[in-house]
Amino acid sequence: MTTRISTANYFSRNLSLMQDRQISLDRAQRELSTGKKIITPSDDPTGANTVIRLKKELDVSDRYLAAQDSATRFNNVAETQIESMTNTLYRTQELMTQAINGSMDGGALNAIGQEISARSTEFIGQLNTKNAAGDYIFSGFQTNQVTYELDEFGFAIYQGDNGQRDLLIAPNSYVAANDPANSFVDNLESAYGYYQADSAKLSTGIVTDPVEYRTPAFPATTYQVQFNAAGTGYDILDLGLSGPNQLVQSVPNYVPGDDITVQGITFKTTASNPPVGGEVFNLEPQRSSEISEYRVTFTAPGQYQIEDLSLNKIVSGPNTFAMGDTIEWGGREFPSDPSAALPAAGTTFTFGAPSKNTQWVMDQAAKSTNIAGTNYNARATVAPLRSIDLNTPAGDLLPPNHPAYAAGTTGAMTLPVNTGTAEVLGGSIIYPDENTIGDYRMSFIDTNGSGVPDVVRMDQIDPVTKRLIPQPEGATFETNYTPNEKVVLGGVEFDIAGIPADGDTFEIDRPENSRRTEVMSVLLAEIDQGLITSGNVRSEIGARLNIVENLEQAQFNFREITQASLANIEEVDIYEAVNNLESSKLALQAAQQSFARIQNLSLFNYI
Amino acid sequence: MSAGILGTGVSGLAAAQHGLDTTGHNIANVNTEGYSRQRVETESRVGLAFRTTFLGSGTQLASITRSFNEYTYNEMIFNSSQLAYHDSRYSNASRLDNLLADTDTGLTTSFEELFDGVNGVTEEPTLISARNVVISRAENTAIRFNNLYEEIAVQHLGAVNEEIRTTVSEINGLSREIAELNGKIQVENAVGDQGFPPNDLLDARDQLIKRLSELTAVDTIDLKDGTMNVTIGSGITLVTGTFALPLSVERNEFDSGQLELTISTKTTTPVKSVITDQLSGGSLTALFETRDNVILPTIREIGKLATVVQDNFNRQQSLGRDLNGNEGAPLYSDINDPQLVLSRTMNSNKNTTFSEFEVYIRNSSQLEATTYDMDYDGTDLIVRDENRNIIQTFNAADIATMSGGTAIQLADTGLAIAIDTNNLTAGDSFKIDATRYGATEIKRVMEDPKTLAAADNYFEISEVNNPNKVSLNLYEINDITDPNYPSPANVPPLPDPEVQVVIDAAGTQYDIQDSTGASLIGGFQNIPSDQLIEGPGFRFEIDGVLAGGEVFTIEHADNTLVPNENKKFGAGDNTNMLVMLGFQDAKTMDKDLNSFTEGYADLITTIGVETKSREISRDSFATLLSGVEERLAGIQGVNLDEEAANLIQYQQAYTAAARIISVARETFDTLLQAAR
Repeated sequence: MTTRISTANYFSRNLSLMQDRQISLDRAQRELSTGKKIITPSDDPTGANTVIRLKKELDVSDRYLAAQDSATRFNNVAETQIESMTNTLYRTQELMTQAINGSMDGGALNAIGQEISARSTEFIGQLNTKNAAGDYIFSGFQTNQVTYELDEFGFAIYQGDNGQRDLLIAPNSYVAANDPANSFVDNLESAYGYYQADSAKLSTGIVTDPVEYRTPAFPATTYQVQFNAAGTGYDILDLGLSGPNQLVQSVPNYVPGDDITVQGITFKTTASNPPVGGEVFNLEPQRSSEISEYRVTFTAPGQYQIEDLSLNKIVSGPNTFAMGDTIEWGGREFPSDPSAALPAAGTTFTFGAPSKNTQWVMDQAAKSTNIAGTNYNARATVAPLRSIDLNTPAGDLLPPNHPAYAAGTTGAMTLPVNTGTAEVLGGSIIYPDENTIGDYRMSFIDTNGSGVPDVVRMDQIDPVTKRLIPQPEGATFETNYTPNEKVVLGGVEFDIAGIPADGDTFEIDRPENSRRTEVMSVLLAEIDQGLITSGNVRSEIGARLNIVENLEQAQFNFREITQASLANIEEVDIYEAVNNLESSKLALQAAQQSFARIQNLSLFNYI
Repeated sequence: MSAGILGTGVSGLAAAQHGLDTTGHNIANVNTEGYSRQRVETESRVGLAFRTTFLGSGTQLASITRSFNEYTYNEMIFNSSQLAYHDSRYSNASRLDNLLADTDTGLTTSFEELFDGVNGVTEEPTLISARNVVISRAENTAIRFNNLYEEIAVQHLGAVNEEIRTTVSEINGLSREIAELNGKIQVENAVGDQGFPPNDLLDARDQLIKRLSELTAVDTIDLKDGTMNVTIGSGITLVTGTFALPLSVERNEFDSGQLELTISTKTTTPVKSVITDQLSGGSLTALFETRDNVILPTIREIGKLATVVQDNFNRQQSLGRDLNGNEGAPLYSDINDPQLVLSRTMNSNKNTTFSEFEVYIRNSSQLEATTYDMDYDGTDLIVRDENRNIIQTFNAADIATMSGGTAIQLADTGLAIAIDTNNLTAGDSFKIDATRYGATEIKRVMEDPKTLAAADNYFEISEVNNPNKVSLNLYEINDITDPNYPSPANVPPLPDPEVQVVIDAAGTQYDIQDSTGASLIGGFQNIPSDQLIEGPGFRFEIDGVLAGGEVFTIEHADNTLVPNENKKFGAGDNTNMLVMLGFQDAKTMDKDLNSFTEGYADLITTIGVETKSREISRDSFATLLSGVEERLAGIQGVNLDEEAANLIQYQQAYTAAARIISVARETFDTLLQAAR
């Protein structure tokens, strides 16, 4: 059977063949003009899926790069600010080194004090920096809070929090964009740290007299200040000690606004809101767990160990312990009361490093330049608000020949109050080589029963416990007393006005300029810490900038690879596409030409 | 004798005339679709007996037949039905393919822009302008979803519905015409001679059958009287003899927006049977198939994606604090809006009285783009998935609880159901379609850029006992006005600022208690399989395998009345925003398998694969059809060269026959001459 061809079908078939060629030409043209192989997902469904994912990866990568730019910007701004703070601290350190020099006269010291004070203000200004958006950059998350504000006593108090804003700069990789100022302005490692009262009536307490300083005796954690009923005087108690030993000092003449000094720690009060009669304040040492934190554990009665909580390991012990021993670690001392009972096994207490704020240090340094006196100061001994037992342990408050011990009295006694009219007007050092700088208690004693003291005696006292350090009898520190004549004791000449009574005592404080040196050297060590902490933050910022830079490079590499694979899947191979276009064109042309040639072949043309 | 030769000549002339006529008819119909070329069959006339010999007496017309092969024709019908089916399937899928591929309508761009905005806020959370960007980008994303919904669920689905209606009326027209032709053919067959079938009517009917088969596959049965019965699908009679049974469209039993195909013996008969599922082949079948298998699933997939986006951002907002330090307000409209929860269940129109259900989405990660059937048998409410597998049976007690307004979880679906109006009667059935309207219901609701919750919340979760180190995370804060919620307003007096999550010894139940140990949720409750537990005003997610006996405390840590104040609000806090930024990669959907973009990419791939495979089917049937059409055309088509040859042939025959007449005349003349 011969096959037939229908004329109409022949035309339509040729037409559809030419249409097929046209479709493939159109496709080749579209691929060329869009540059893409995948025009709709159905062209390559899995490829389309990959394209979406890769494009998302690129978009995410763009976002990382944007976040990296911001991270760099934020950290650079902070770095610049901290650098200028560091310069301020260097200048302050220089000034303090000058002030420590004992030969400075009052005017020069005053000038230094004023500059340090100005630097302190400058420092706070640098901390309270705002960025372009009006945010305080060093306040942690509390960006609308001024970073540091001075409280009513002049102490700069951090108003922010510990918040650190992270930016996502690479997959699962965050970098901090801010530094809370408390991390480098507060928390300076300090020898003494600061104390806080459980009332806003007392300022932060900072150590102004390192020689008199001592922490509360273990196991107590606080000192206590007890005001008398009238509010005109107070006792200072160390609750860690027992019995009469608890009383450290008694101050009878408080005037609202006066400083309260406890074992060398000074708390300010205000005249507007002073402590009132009967008030009791607990003064607790503040310690920073940010620097280091330790735990003391009594493993058995009379045995303890010390554990470093940040390292999570035991760093000392087991050590033997008896009451009266001082536990010592990391520059911190915890004395104990010899008469108290041993702590039970399992008793623990934790302590961190004493810390301080940079501005407080600067402020204290400025004020310390006013400590300029070169003479001993004297004041009459006052009676405490409570009676104390002089005999336990005997003889540590008054010299042995004091009339209070007459006739071998053994019972409880009260520290006598001066009955004479004498006033000691201070002393200047006339024989420096005979003088031992220290605090003394001066006693007038009637040895011949004349009713008028004939001997004056000066015993050095422990600046911490205020108890006598016994001196050899008949040495330089005891001399004859003649009313209305100057007395020379331990190389110091005292003027005495009026007539003392038998047994009258006076407190002789060492010259203040020696205290300035002591305070300044402590403060210098603290400023050093301030430089270290800000240096740490700067190097941390530097490390961050470095990380950002590395990750930026990594993102660029990633983008390059991703774009290449995206191109591989999505983009047309230009040579192939041109080739496709050419061959489709040729095929269509051939089909058209042959059709045109053949279509007019008809038998009808010949009949 | 002379009359004989004349007669013979005339018969030859007539035969040649018929041949020329038919050839002319063929040439004239060279481009008529469905035309079968016709052929003249002649036969010699039986001669007269003349003594002992027969003398031929010329020719006569035996038949005019059309060149036709029923088997090839049926093959062509089948393939054209298949091609129309696959072509319609392809073009409808391709419409989605193009729509989703377009970067302007595609969702990925708006997601990426939204995350750019979120990143900006993590950088500078106090910058109002950065916050405004997030709000406007969030709006763009919502609008993008709304537009996709409009494009697919309104425009495309509307076009499909419209096409279903017009196709059905076209089918009805065709079947009516076929029935009419049947009548004519029947008459012609009865009156016509044997060998002279009504060729052109048959062609016309075949052509109608072909057009009908492009709409839906048909089977034909030829009857003796020349009529043809037509059935569609699985033996549903469309045309019987001269009667055509009309098809009609009716609303879907559950969803009045969907049309179904029905048939009845008369248009007025109220009871019509739905035959949508019985169809095969043709573009009408393809419309139903594409609607059910591509368009509606795509709407649900996009709805699911919208719901997941909405839910994740809103929940994270609830877990943070805004620039004023307040609990975050929602960014998008509520996924469990009271109207929306009602819209997720549809009553069968056969239910005597309607019952209303509230379907809540409680865990969007578990959400699937599917529907569930619910049937009430008089005691139990049985929920089945699309494959008719029972996934849950609510007993009478459950139904009472649900009617009381307490939603019960539908296991592993992310849904929880309560009954709003209980008119349940045995035999009632319902359909749950939870993601259908997701893409149109997503709306940006946040107005004030300050209410964007960039900062972390104020809760401090600490573990008291947690041997397996499972993590307890806040999942959502949904009601800060709950009297037992640990808010500053509730402190003091008790309920106190601290609540505890307590797990029982077996690790299968939980309780939420105040610090005195008094339960705030009415005692121990079962822990659902997704480990999302409910507290007073908030929800928690337990991550990990519980050992039993776990205790966690949750403390409000920004409150001067509470001892621990270490989560004080700070405007520069970006913690919560960082979590939202994490959504760019977080596996938040499809049971924690996909991120937003991956979920969308999967949808694109599904549509792409579907479109591609449909294209391949279409192309292969196009090739098959073109082959069979060529073969059929070889049989029935007109070839002009052939007809030209025929024309010459018949013309020559005509000339020859005319010559016979002239010879006869001459012979007769000669005879007359001789006789003169």
